[in-house]
Amino acid sequence: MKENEEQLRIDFSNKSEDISDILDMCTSYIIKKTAGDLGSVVLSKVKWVLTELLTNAIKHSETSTSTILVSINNEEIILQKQDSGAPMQFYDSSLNQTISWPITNKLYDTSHIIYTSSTETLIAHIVSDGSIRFLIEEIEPEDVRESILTDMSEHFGLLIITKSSTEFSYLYSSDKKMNLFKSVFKREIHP
Amino acid sequence: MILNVIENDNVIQATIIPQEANLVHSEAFKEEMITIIANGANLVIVSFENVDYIDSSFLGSLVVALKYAMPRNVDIYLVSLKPDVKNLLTLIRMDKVFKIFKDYQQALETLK
Repeated sequence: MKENEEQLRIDFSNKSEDISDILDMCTSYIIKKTAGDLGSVVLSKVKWVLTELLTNAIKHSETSTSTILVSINNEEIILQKQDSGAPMQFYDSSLNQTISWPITNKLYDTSHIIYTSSTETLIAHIVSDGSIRFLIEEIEPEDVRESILTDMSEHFGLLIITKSSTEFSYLYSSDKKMNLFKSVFKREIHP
Repeated sequence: MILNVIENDNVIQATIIPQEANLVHSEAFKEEMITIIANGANLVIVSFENVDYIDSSFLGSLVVALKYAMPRNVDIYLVSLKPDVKNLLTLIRMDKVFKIFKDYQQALETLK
């Protein structure tokens, strides 16, 4: 933790009916600890990301609990979701290969398309420590409404988190058998 | 039931009842929308006047409904979006996919 960093730790039941309470606890903590200097735009993005991290836990972790960590320092707000489920994996059609953890060294510093919608491509860039950073490339289709019929993704969770966060990453710890999703927000003062 | 529905000349005004348009309600919303479209609507105007926040699951259901509607020449308009909801749709560029109006009245005026 950085100097002056404070942290809230919450165990989440992975039940959809508990999302609202967890969301309220986290946002109340953030508002209190930032003493009102966080703009409404950033706070909205934090809520969207928290919602999607919790939804992701319900849909994909296949465990009975997850842990949400909210850390705040002078520069950043950091949201983390930890669970002990199976590591993330995705299919890269250009390599005709499923990428799964632990990552081999030869895949370090490579980028992979997770999915493409009518308007965006979500890319996983594998960093040298085996973690991935999520990136977005925007597309300008000629007719978005027509393209929705063929290729619009209905899976917006990772897209929302990536576009809302200053930085969004994933790491699987083989030692701890733990998934860690981490979303960072710069504490700039926004309207 | 997720939608409060009023029908007038095959134009459906469907108001989302829950404040939280999320994973809890997304499957039922999708099924109700598909039933409305399958029953012969020409246009479905979905009001978000009660909705404080929306998540990816509900957005996914909205897109599934539009995918089901478009080949049947049915359109879906969105009205009465609160700023947070509209900002999220804009973030993932759904504002380019759905026609968005201030309220039912403004949406209905496009039909005149």
